[in-house]
Amino acid sequence: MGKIVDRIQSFVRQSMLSFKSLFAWLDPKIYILVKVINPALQLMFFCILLSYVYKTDDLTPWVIGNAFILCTFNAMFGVGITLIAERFYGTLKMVIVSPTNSFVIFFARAFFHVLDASITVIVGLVVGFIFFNFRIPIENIPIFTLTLLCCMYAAACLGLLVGSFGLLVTDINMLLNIASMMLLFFSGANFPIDRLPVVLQKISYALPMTRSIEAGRLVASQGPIEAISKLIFMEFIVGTIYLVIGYVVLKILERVAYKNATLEVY
Amino acid sequence: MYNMYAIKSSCLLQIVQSFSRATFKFCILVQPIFYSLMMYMIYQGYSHEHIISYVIIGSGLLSLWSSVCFSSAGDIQRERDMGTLELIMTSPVDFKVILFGKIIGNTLLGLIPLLISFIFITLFFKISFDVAHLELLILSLLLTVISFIPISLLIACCLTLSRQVRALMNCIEYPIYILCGIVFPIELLPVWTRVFSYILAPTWGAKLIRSSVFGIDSMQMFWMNVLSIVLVSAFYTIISLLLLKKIDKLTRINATLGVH
Repeated sequence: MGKIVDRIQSFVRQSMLSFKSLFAWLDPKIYILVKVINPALQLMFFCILLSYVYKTDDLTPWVIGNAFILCTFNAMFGVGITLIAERFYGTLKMVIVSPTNSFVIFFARAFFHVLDASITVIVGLVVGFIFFNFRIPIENIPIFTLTLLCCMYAAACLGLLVGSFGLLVTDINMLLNIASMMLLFFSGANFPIDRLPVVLQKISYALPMTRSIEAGRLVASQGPIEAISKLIFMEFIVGTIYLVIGYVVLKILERVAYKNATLEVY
Repeated sequence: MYNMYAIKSSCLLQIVQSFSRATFKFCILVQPIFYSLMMYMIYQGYSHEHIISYVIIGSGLLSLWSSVCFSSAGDIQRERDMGTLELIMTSPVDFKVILFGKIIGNTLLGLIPLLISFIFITLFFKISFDVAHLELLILSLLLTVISFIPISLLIACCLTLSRQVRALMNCIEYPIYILCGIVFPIELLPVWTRVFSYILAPTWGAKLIRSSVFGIDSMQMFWMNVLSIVLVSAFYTIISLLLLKKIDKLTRINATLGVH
């Protein structure tokens, strides 16, 4: 029992340190600008655009889509640059050779980013509530929260996969930007997915967030609970698949880096 | 003559350095395609005029502004990271001249997203792009692109003193997208925000480009818009020059220019 508690404490400590290392340089003013004002403006931009295009006052589906998309700053960039940051600060080799299970280290990186991403999404939803008539039934808030957390988890897992390639490339920002743009385009946040050709719709469903956004919209419109549960479950599975692939890719690239002695080559 | 040579060298070096960064190549080559596709999907089913106005022109301007944000705004931080910011501030060539050369380089590269948006949408979706006044369109494009230079200079000045450039440069994208009527009319915004729209050069640039493509109802109005963009750009230039003077003084007193 003591061992389990120790491991949990170690996991939480790791997560906190990883999170603080990325955001410790931000002072409160900058934090508010980056985490509150910028996400609010992003949501406002898309909601104003979509209210004009779709000629509707009911922007709840689009507020949900764009609010969930706001998590990409944390879930993709925050999680994705962790390995690169370790390399930059010279601690990558110590992380790799440490006796702690590398899966735990790997996953701990994402944990607090998932929570922080949720805060950004909540900011977006509040802006949607104030300016764009976003409403969900109060009794559906718990399931909506579950949908939100599942979405953050899945996005963070994609961020971990993309971040693994940080061992191979020097400019991980480009890959993260591509992944982020793909989520913005394919997730159905700004236009119905059925506008895409059938082949591209498959990409939408292979990426995280698509199902969460759909589930969130069903929750808001009091859709059938079975459909919502199925979407949340599938989203969790998709996220886990990305997590496993990301871990396997990390192990493979680690071995390649060991062989070629390129672990800390920029 | 000496300054012209410095501007040319700074511009060429900026272009070469920018192209060596994968993220920048993404911003000017890949991002316009994403923005164009997304805007097309959003505006799908709308009139030809809307597609030209908000998909082709709009997504081109979105990408242009995005590349300006991440190039000009980030240049100062990159110089700081490389340890060369103090050197270029104290070089015999005025810092303004070097900065001006960099911004020209970034702005010239910013033309590429405009071109990519245009080519991608017209070829891929077979949209015809008929221009009512070609010579005025060329003038409008030139004025719009040139108007980005003073804005970039202003942003670069403001961010020279900040140590949080990377965080701040993400925050200057969306205000311009919202206020300048790039992908939706500014008439959607509350009346009190339009004051801010009209003091931003991209607002006038977008109006000029659209009117030269679709036809000009009143030439007088067109030239008034030209005058507006010139005046706004001149205003930014004056503010930037004053700021640069102040920055020069502050950085020498506080000795914090190269501090991260």
